[in-house]
Amino acid sequence: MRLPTVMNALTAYDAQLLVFSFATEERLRQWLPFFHRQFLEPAYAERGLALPPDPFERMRFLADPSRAVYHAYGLGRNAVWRVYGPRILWQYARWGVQGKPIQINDDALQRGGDFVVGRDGRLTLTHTGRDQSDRPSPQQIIEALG
Amino acid sequence: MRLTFPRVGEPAPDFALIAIDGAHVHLADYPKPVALVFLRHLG
Repeated sequence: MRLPTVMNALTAYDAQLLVFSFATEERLRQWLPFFHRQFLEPAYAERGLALPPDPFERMRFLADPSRAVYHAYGLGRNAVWRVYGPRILWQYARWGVQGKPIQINDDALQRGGDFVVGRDGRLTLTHTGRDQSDRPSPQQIIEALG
Repeated sequence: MRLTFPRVGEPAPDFALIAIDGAHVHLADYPKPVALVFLRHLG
């Protein structure tokens, strides 16, 4: 997800973003500053954009360690060969070259996903990638929000 | 465990959780449109 582009779209469509993790609430809280420093700030800097005063203004973070919501959205566990296939290994290599830390302390096989819920409560986007690098494009998300 | 992946056009599965900022989040009542991002492992 190209964060700055998507965050601008959230404002344009008066939309919200809910971010789920299957980590515990404590671990998720600890991760947020790390995410801000290692991913959010560089994403804006790479595009020559100033970080908004409150980049999390339209975001909420939710811990789902029981994975009840993950499962409600059909997100089970991935096959090992999908998680550690060439595409994701290449992404890890890129992150390593960029100096981004790679820490895997949780279940690396749990699937992620992206969804958009429209104003009528129906899904306008559903996506679960083949691997970690497979996320919808900003354009797909923007179209789904509109 | 057999899980069903929801499709575009279907009602979004409802849920209720407490966010880490203490807000009670119930999808049925939550402002929309809303994007849901399910993370894989934190890193």
